Amino acid sequence: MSAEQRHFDGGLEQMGQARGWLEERLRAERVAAAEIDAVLLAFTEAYTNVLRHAYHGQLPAPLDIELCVSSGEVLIVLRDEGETFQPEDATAPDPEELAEGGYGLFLIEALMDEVSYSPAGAVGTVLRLKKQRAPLCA
Amino acid sequence: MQIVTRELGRGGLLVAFEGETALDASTTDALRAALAELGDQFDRIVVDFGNVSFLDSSALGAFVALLRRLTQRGGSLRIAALRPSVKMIFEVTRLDRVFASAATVDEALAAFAA
Repeated sequence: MSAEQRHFDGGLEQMGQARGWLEERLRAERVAAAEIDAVLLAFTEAYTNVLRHAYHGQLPAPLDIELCVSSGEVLIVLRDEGETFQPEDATAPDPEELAEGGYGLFLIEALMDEVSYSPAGAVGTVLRLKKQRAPLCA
Repeated sequence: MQIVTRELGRGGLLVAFEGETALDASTTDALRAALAELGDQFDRIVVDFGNVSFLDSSALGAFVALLRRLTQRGGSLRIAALRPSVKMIFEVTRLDRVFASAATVDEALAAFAA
């Protein structure tokens, strides 16, 4: 099991750096490519939600990210200090309606195996994203 | 994010991205504005995703807006050369049912010419 932490507070401009760090760590841990793709997308949707809904676009937007990788799973914990965020509706829009938004929460739920939001003390939210890794051998 | 275009004639346009490109919420405003302008000028657009390494839901929304804009006018949009990481978001959201796609840009252009 490996565990690593990073702190970011620069908003959307730093999101790519955070995703780059995560991708590098997941590749180093030999996580399967399809699992990395899913984790990076769910992580980006979650990070965007924090900036939009917890910090309402205001900076600085402190976010602590913890990554734990074991042979069986990838766990990412995001801790923000913004407005407590507890999403409810994660339903996917009907593709025929050509909705231009509303996919973020659904994607997080669909791509990860476990998703949980909890208050982080007086302010902020702790979001835990867990992805099971497929066994290397049948 | 740098968009490059090539006119195809008869109201057609090929849209591509210069260099390795990640499209997320940090680029969505610029992407949306650029696609809206192109969508007003051309009726048939092929988007080459070959250089797109990452696409999130906010950027996806910009392409949905382009599809809406074109189809409302009787035009068409075809997406091509999607990497697995990008194809995934179309599949999970089931938007692969409404976007015409091709494995390669040549295949998409051939479909337009037909």
